[in-house]
Amino acid sequence: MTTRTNPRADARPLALQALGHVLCFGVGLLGVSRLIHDYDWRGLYSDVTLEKVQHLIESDEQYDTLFVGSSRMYAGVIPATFDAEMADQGLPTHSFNAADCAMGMHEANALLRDLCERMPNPPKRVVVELHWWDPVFRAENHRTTRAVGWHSLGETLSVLRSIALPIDAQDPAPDFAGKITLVQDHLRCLVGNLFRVGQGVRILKQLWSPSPSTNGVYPEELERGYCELGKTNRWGRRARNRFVSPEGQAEYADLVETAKHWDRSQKGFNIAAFKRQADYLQSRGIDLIYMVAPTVESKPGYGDLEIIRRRVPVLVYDQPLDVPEYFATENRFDTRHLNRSGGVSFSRRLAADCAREWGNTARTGSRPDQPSAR
Amino acid sequence: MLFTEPRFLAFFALAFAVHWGLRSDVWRKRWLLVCSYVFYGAWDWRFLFLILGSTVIDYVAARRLERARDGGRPTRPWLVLSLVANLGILGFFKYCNFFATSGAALLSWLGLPVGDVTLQIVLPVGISFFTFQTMSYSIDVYRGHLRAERNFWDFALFVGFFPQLVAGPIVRAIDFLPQLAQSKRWRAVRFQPALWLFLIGFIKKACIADGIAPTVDAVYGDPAAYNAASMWIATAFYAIQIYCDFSGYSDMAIACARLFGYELRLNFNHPYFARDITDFWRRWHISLSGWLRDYLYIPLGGNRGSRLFTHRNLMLTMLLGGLWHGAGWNFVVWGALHGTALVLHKEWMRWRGANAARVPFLSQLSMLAVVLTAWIFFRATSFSDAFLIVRGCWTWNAPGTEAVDPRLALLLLPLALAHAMAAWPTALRHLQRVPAPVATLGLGALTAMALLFVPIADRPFIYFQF
Repeated sequence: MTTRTNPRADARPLALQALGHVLCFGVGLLGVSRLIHDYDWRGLYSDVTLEKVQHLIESDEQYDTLFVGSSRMYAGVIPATFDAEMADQGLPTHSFNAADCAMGMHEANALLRDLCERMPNPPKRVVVELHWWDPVFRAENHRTTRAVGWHSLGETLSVLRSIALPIDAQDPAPDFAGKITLVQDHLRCLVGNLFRVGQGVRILKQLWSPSPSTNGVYPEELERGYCELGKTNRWGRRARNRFVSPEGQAEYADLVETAKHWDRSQKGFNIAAFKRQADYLQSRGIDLIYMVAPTVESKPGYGDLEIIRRRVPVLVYDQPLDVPEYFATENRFDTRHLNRSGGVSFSRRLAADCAREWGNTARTGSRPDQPSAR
Repeated sequence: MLFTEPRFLAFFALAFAVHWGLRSDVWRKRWLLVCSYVFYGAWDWRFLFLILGSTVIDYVAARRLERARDGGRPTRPWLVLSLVANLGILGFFKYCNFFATSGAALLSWLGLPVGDVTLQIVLPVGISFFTFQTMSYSIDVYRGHLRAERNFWDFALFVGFFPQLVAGPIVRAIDFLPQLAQSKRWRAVRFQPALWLFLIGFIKKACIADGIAPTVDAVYGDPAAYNAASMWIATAFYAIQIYCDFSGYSDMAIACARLFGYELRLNFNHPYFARDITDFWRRWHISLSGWLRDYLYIPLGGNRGSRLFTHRNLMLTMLLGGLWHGAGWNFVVWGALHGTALVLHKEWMRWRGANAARVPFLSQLSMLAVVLTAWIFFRATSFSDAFLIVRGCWTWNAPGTEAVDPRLALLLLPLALAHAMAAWPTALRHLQRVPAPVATLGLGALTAMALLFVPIADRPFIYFQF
């Protein structure tokens, strides 16, 4: 008598066995990666951000308000001035400027989430500088460990969504092939971040000599995270020299004129990313305000701002016709940034507007065409 | 497409899943052929015609050769056709510019200057490997060691099998064609050892070879700037880099082939642990040294003659072996150094007899000295740089003051680990006793640790250029 074997029945236990091995492999791979990730959580921050994060985690000072954004925030908001104005407004705060140069929305979001997880007393209020959720790497950040650092799974999915949207703010906007390259680059960063690809030598060096490799700018030289350009910061002098030159001044005047007539109808914000950020922060009881910094070089567009405003107040300061004082040469360090006097004035104004927003129960936000007046 | 690239992982996963999903062995082989051509076409699809042409020529030549023999007609013309075609392809793509520029330099030296004689020729990846493979097939059929393959698609798979297509090991038809006739069974494949071998190869290539490459590049890019210690470190690093790069590729190729149910021969056997220079060549690039022995050294007469005749054959074999690695005089010098060392070693063995191996340490040390010195010529970008480094290393008299960080030696730890694992049979036996799920878990964990040491930038395999 012959026995018949069913090949499909034979294949089933083999397939289950294979699946089991794939699962075991995945557990080993992801488990060890997770351990390394947890040990090396500081590894992919920029020096400045790392120093700020470490200060926020380790300091006894209990900051209740954070500012997060790019160099425009870093050099534009002076926490001490902001707090003094808030106290005058009857809403005392103790704030810290956690911004860093070239920090986009995705990086800021990752930083905020990390801070919320790690700070012993998470902030109650956060002001985030508003940009596009820009999927294009800044040239200075491209393929750096810092760019890899914010690529969590959630943030990568979010940036992939941004790529799928029309990227109006980019000049020139990436074409289809450019978008494919961007997708590849972001996926590469995701893998780089999840598995800390190529970071072994640095981690070994850290194990060998555990002192953090920082540039030593904090806290001696900084005022609760604020950085006065030209005084403490090593970069920006060339931009300043250019700005004060006659050609630079003429160029700046042209930029201001252009900014007065920007097309405010551009759309294409990654609304889902805003909602996700707002949901996360609000679920933790944190009040969020978006702020468009006074600059002539950003084109955030306003086509979608109304949708954002339904959830979060948005303060807009990039229209020279509405807030001319922040575009006056004497208040600027260069075309992109305020100087200290501009920072003092701007911090007061921001505090007054924030106090009004945080004091209001109904959050309506200011309108780009009707900037809030003190 | 590099074995270390994420897209290879996707490509391999698809190839593997479809291969084992197919019921028929014939369709599996056809699928592997399609995958192999896609793999090769990913470099430059135009060269698919080249590999196809080489395949057709050797297939037809071998069939005709066999038919001629069966009919009592002369067989040599068909062998000559195959050799001329293969050597012609190799000569045109790889050596045309080399001979043209060398000839022009000679004429110029004789006072007959000529203009630019170089052609814009792109070197097809892996050409040296697949032409040697097909030549060995024709020669084996000519010698009667092998029947000509009747199935064209099987023969095409032998030539184009993607795991070993671009950088070896050089597979002999006598080893591979019989495997194509066997039915492949999923249960017969030992996946876990294959995956471990792949991971070890990956660590060698991506973590070690690519990790130390920037140090080597820096010193060899501007040797005049570095001190003698740095030259030694860079040369030792290069010896390790080229070993890890090439043997890492071979390990991954062997592992990939095993995952499809095919066996490829071992290509490296811890060559730097060799007893002497002769032993080194039994352990280094075994498939090439075996090929040169069987198809060049022995046909030249081998050691079946006077001592001088044997030495001549040895030198010729090594010079051509050097030239096989690249179209450049530095490779010829590399071959000449090895040839000279082999001749001297033969003489030493003859002179000392049984006493020759009395001091194994000194024997190993002299082997390493020869091998490292020869690598200097292999790696240096010019003869002046090579001589500068040789002088710096051996007289401790280097013009530069810059120094590489000696802590970089830490990068060699993973190599030591991988080497120890491979060289310690008890450890491997213990590993085999570990329950399979635990071993797979360990494989995942080690992969995670290996990824820590993978440089972010992709770097092609060194032997792709040969």
